[in-house]
Amino acid sequence: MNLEKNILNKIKTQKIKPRAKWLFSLKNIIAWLLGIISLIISSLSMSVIIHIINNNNYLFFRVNHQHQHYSMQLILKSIPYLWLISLIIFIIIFRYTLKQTKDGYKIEISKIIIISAGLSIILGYLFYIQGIGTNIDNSFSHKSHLYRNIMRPCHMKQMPKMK
Amino acid sequence: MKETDYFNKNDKELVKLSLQNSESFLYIVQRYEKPLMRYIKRITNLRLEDAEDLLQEIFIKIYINLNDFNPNLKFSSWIYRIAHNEVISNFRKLRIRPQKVDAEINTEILKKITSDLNLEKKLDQKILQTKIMYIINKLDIKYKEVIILKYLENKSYQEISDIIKKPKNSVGILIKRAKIKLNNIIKDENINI
Repeated sequence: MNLEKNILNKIKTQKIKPRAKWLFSLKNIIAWLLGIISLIISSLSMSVIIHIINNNNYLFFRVNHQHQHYSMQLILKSIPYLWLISLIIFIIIFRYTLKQTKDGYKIEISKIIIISAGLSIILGYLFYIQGIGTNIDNSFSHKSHLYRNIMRPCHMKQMPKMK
Repeated sequence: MKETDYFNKNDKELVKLSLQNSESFLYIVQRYEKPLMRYIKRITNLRLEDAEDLLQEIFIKIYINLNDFNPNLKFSSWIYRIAHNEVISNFRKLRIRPQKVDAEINTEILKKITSDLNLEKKLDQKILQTKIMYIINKLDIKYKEVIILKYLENKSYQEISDIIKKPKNSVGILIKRAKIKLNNIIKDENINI
């Protein structure tokens, strides 16, 4: 049949060869590596979130002792949005890269999100215990005035002395 | 090797042979050109010559990617996946939406569709076939494709999952939604089946 002839002709005249197996293995490894890197970055974001929440003494002092009616406002103001966005973005990237692996498409999206969020919390907590979250936050604060203003509107202020 | 020997080989053996000698790839082409052509015709509105060109491109892609074939997968699922990707990228290239498809539906398929959609068959088979195809063609490509794969190509949920690279549960949800949409079209357009 024509189709068979045409295909064989094209393969021979254009010297088409099957791609080497290692190229496909490499693609799979790169997808996994990118997935692991995005998971590490989301965990680092989580460690900074834990650090910021854990060190918001001023906020908790005000919520508990002074302006209870402003508590919701204060809590909303102190949420580390930048790191939360970073956490979400890298969880999405993790999900995308996992889909590019050989069998990644078989895993439900909800499972991927639960697993990656769970791993980010566990690893993030471990990073926080190691002081990594604190170091990242301090380093950003020293280097960027904008970051300081956005991320530390509350806890950068001096905590009022208790009478 | 004699020609009859090739016919007795299974797909995985033919893949191995094709990797050693491109001539052996022709037996894969022979085995799958009809089902793939039928699939392309069912899902696109391409003219015969264009469909043949697309089929040729699909087989070249299959040949280039032979080393990517995962033996844990059914070979037919793997080549349908390549065909699916090529059809979708062809749509994007031409910026067209698949519309009118005059595919053949046999009695068995009609029976399966009508019973699955809880339709009461009151019509003559030819009219029923035209009406079913008209309704399927009204669906979005993502729904149309799973309906075609399930009912017309007779693929299992696992095979559809491997072809469109979506989890098995998502395939089930897609098919369920597609059936609801089919029933809605029947109601909205007041189609008597």
